[in-house]
Amino acid sequence: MQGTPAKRIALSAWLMAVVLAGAGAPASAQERPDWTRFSARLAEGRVDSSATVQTLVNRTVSGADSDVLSLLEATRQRPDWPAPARDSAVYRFTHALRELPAGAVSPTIVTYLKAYEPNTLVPHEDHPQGRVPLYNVRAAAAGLEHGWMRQEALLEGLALLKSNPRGLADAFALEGDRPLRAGYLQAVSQASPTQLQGVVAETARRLPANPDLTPLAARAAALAGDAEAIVQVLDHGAGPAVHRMLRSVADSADTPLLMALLPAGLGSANRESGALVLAELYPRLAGRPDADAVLLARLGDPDLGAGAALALARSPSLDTRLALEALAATTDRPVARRARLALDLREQLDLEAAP
Amino acid sequence: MKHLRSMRNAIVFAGLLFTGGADAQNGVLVEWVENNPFNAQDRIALGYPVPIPVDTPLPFDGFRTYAGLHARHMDLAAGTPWVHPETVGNTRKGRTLWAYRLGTASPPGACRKRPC
Repeated sequence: MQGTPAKRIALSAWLMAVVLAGAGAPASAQERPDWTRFSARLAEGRVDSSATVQTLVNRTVSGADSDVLSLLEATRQRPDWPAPARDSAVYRFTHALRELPAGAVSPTIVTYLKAYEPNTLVPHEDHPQGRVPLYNVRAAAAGLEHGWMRQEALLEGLALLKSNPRGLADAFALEGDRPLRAGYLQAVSQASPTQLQGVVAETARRLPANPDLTPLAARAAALAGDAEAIVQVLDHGAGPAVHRMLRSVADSADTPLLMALLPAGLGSANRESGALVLAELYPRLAGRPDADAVLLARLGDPDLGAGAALALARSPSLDTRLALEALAATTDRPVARRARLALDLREQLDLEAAP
Repeated sequence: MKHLRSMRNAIVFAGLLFTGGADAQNGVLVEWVENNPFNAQDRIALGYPVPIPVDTPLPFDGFRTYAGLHARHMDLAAGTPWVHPETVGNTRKGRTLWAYRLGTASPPGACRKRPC
């Protein structure tokens, strides 16, 4: 640290030069204004970029890929437009591509969009310290690609349904990509009753050994309204598709089917499914003496008792309330405890519902 | 029924986007949906089914409603010696605020050292 005065002066001068050079350097981060969403939208509104977007679309359709890429890059850097307007134009172009079939858009254009570097970053809605793109072109490009994949799988699925409905299960099992699977599921929604029965039979047969087929089996079972297939999914299915199936069944099934599924679902070895049956199917049956009786008999169940109590707390039946009070006074501790829980929850729900 | 449920889902899953500054006072209500084929400005497409909370106390592959979780907590409190619910206040709408002590059954403020 010790040095001659001349050395110290030289060092100080050098440090000052470095600092001044840094302050004067137009680092890109320093050039970026601190946009808020509001200020960015205001700036964007000062420019009408519709003509540019339309030109980009027209050139894409005509196959002028290199022109499109040049215009995209020129738009991204256009000095006479504020940064939000530039990003907005590219984003709107990306969305406009959704109207075109996959084959009409060059992969180089999609690659460019998937790597697009945003000009405008704004504070995140929940964490203002973090900044996110005002227009997330990369996400829109990924969504564009997924939409095409989904469409492709839909067409393939429809073709399979015509030629070999059981083959759809093979295709679904082999494919791990979510957009492709979504396309197959969409195809099932458009199947004829005969085709649907083919899918139901095949997925129900294979589900115990291959729970990965749950989304397909669940969709087919719900559409067919096939009680046996629905129970098969309850017993062997896994994942969120089981819940979606039950919600769909609750919306569309008639009361006899729901009454058949309630005890069958509660008796399933798959406890999660039983809880979901309580949550989704019982509300359509609440207050019916036969449905309430099924739930009252389940209060002592270690896994499903609390769910039965919560469901019974919402029963409008006075008889059920009296039955709960009677059970709460019995010496069967688990049953009495859940009956008391149902009455307490009912009281709280009444309080919350009060104006 | 179907319409009521759709409406309920839409309300439950409506996201209020606060956008800072003047925008914050004019929150934009958007709906999360699986697909948005017509690019409606008030919808955000997730590309997968919108998760819906389920009214059940039992854990499962998804998430539960407040009522489901509350029932679970109360059931644990009544059925085990380790969960002790206490009311710690009320919300502005008069709902009870619950706190749970986990562990031994000694009352709040009791001496935890021996000898007291």
